[in-house]
Amino acid sequence: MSTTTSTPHLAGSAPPAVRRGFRIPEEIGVIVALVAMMAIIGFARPRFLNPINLFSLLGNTTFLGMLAIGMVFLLAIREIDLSVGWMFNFSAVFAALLMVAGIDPWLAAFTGVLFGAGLGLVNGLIAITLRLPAIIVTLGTYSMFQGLSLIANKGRAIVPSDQSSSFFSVISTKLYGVVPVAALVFIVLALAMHVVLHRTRFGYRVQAVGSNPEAAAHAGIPTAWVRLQTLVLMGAICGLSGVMYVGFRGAIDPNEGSDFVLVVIAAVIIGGTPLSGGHGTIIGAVIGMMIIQVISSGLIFFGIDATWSTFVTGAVTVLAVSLDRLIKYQRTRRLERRRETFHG
Amino acid sequence: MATCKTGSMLVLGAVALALGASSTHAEDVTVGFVAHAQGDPFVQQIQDGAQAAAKDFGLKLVVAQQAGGAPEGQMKLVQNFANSGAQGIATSVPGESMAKGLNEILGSGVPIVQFNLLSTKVEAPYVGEKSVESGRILGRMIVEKLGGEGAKGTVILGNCFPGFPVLENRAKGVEESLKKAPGLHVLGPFDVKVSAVDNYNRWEQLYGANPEAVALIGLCAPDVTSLGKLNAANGDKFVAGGYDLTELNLKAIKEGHAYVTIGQSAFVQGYLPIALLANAIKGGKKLEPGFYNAGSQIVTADKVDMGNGLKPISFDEAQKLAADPVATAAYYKPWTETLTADTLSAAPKPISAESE
Repeated sequence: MSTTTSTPHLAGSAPPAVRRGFRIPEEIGVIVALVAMMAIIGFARPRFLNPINLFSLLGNTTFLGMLAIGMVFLLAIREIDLSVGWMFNFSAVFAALLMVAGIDPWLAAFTGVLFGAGLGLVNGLIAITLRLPAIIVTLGTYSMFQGLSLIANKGRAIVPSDQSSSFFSVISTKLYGVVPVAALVFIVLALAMHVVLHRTRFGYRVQAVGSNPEAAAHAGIPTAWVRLQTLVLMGAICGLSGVMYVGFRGAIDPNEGSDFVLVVIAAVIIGGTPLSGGHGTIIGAVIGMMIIQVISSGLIFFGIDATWSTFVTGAVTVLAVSLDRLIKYQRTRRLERRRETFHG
Repeated sequence: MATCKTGSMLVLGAVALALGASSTHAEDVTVGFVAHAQGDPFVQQIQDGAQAAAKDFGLKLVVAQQAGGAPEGQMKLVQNFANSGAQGIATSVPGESMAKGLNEILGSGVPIVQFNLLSTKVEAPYVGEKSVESGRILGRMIVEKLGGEGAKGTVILGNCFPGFPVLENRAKGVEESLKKAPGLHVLGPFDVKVSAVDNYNRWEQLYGANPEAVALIGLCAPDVTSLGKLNAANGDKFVAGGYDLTELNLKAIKEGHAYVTIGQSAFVQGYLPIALLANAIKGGKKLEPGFYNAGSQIVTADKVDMGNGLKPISFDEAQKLAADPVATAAYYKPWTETLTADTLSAAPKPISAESE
């Protein structure tokens, strides 16, 4: 008689070798929800499926969607950054002020991304030094970054006067008249970050620390360093989103970003990243942000009045999340039944 | 099975919404109306004006609003209206970053009218108050109440949305008038936030830190209510002034806890953009960029000036109008009847007139 031992897959470790073949993605639930919503709206209002509208929706997803990508890493490591909107704003203001001062917009934009990373570093250093959760630290830096941004922009929109640079034309260009370049950058960033989260040592470490910080520390993972890296990454992504916003819209307003954080966290959670950490899905977050945009657009296509739209937005979001969870539940049940059959 | 049920519910829900929305397709022309600060009583009064215009001109008006005042969220709503085939859009413009996107929509042939919050870079007409001038009026009223040019003491100025050009202009006008009394020392403008709770707290803290202040002036809709409460709680020691004719603001004035509120003709700010769009769409005319003055209203407990050549009313009547959109539409009838195809087609004043 022989015994078979099976090693469970640990979060943060490299996935075990499995047989190759088609695997239904874990995001199938939200993908189905998104497609169902688009099909229903498109059936009732065919104009919704016009490519111009669909790419416009993708463009609308870009700036907040980028922040959602960074937030996946944070939730996966059991952290939440509340200051994302103001890191976005402050980086954009910083870059725009450099452009106003005559610095080449490309260089100013690059500096803006570094500036965003610097803001993330501030969050990270405070969190690690004081051993505080990022949510507590960023509760304070939320107002700090907002206040500093207001001081820098003197309460007024920053509009780079010379927008003849290729920076503005490239970022705001629409390929073939419909595909926004900014949206393409967003998709490339999403794919790159998907690889980083699931195929690199940093990504495995993020998930390991989020899954069980004590076990990760015992395993020799420098948890503080990984937390710091994640918060800096979030800041850099906020910086990238902010400078692209300046390129796309040609200006940054003093209050832009103020309402971003809840939408970003909602998109990540709708997408399937749990608040409990240890796991995250970039693709899910992107789909989650698209669901939010499709709901918003669908309400207008259906002509639903503003007084009802807030309720309907919430209700459809709950339905979409329910659909996702039910599909996941069914998959888990099916898997369990297969295991029982196999062992039986 | 459960999945199928949920899926069916999603389908049924959306189809029900679609059918529900279809039943309102009585009119040929659909116009989108996008505003900031959902739930704010003043913005609701603007919306009531827009609904009255849609009824008078036989348009279908679809309203979309966002809770705060961030430009990106509002730009997306405008974009959705343009993509959904709306023949015209009226929107407040809470930030310069909307200008590029709005001009692209204008370039695609969809007419846009701005109201209440303006970007001078948008190549579309704007309906609103003369913001610097309304600030001057408010400042002048406060100086007079404090004793004229010989007035002395500390005056606190609060702005609920630092950075909004219209509010910054109001502050400029208020400060300009206050300077005529060299003995007045102005503190601020401070950020007093827009939500009712935050707004009161900020004013309470400001007064707590400056109990010697002789006047507190706000630039937004919630301020007069907050200042009235604060004054009542402190024995009515300071002069309170601010903006907008909401029910609660008028109550604070009536009870004597606040002195003056400046209205910016919310009804006109909602009605006129829709009237301009209706005239342009039905007449196939292009709307020229420019400024349409909605007019200022001056309300104290003793005097109600509703502006726009409207008949004088008592304070009680002003209070009733603030709470009743139907009565407001009836009161404004003499003004709405002046809006003929000719008057609506007349060239507006240059946009610079807004901040004169």
